[in-house]
Amino acid sequence: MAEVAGVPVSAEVAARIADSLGPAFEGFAAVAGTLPFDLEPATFAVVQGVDRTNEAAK
Amino acid sequence: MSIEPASLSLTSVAQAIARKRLSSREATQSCLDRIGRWQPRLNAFMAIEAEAALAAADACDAALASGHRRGALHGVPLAHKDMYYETGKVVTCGSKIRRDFIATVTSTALRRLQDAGTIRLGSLQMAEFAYGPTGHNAHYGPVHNPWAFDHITGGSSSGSGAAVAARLTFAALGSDTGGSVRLPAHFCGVTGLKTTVGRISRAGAMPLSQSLDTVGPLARSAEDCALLLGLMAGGDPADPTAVADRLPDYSAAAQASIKGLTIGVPASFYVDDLDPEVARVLDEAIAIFRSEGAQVVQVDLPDQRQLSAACQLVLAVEAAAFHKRWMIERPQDYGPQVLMRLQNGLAVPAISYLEAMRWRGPALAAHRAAVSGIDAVIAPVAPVAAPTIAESDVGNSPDAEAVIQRLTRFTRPINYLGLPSLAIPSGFTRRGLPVGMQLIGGSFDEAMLLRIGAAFQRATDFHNRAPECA
Repeated sequence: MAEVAGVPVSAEVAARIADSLGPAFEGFAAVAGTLPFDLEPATFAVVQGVDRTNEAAK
Repeated sequence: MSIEPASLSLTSVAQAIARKRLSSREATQSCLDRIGRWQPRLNAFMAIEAEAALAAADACDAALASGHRRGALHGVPLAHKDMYYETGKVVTCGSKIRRDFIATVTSTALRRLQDAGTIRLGSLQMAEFAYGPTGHNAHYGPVHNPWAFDHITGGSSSGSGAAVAARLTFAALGSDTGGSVRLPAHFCGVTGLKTTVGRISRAGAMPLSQSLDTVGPLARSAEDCALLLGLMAGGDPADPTAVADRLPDYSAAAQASIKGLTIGVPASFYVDDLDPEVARVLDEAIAIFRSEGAQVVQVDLPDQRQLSAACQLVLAVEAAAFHKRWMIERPQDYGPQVLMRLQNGLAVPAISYLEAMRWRGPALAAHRAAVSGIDAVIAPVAPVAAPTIAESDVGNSPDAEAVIQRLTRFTRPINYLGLPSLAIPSGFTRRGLPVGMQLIGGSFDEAMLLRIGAAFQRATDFHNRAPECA
């Protein structure tokens, strides 16, 4: 994968990366593949915007 | 004035200069005297600009004498994390790669403080490219904790935490992508504000992760953080992600009572695997909130491990993308741990990254539903007080990622949600190491956190205690 990215890494480094990221992939596994089709990243700004509106109304 | 000027709070020194009870030169000289004594022990400064600072102080005093006051911080000397660009100044970003980089712009946050009248003492140490939670730096050495020199400061705003704690600067800018303001605040016993993503412009600040990066101050009190936030926050044409809403009066908010407010205590995750002394300090803090008239209730938050994992995926990819060219051309010029962590980002599939980004909105909505009716959530910043420099010097060893993940487990979920969080000194271990807590609020509701934090600090004196230079 690193080669595809254009940054060469050794086999040792590749193994270390797998160890480092393993817990992150495990932690995210329950979410991965479950998201609705029409959910896009900008939703975050939309949800934040609701809080901004509430804050401005105070 | 009989007390050492450097021991004053930011708010107090600004008022003293404005009322001509103290000159900018006296304040600046006091900081420089302390820097001279402490720097050999702390390694908190990247560069010290004594002559220029004194010349700027004299100019401020002359301007004030002729009736010209630049702003709320006229003549106040400050130093900041060495990642805020200032035209004509070397900005190392804590790295070898940018050891000689001279900025051609001034960051918006820094310029707004300069417009308020601050002067520059120098620049502060930091983790290489802000990518490390301990305070180690492979190129410039570790920053030492002023409360115990053989212990870490936390990072990545390591110099900011140490310099504010040791009263070498009245406040300092830090940055928080995964905990980098709150961890040094916790380990060094100072107040640190991680702002909402979008609250302060990031223009001219070194990027690490465009989705997670935030600018925030470290200072001696919530009142001082309120003053700084009011000066820096708001829209900026140079950073379209900075929102231009009308700002609350943060300093006024910091004077309000917390009677009748509701503070949530998480039922799980943030109470798991805590060092007993950290748990004790949090229990004592909860009792203080109750005695100040706040209602304290238990709150069930969504799975924080998922948030933490998503944060790690986003941060790894975005950091690797920023650094790809140097990873190819100059890998030997990175410290081993930073290079290792940057390489991690190469192994995250694009789909995983995008899923982590797409989930951010629903995750924030779920959090907001869980804390409905709650004004702030109280949580530890880290499960332990400051570890020793030796035990946390893990470099790129197989244990490194585990050490990093343990230190940042309570801070990263908040970065993923983009929420504000105020870290405040809350007590000490029996060995005399500071322990902080974080108050987590709703998006853009820094005012509530400053209100609660300031009320806590009116009822306690942890934030006023200063380390001694043995």
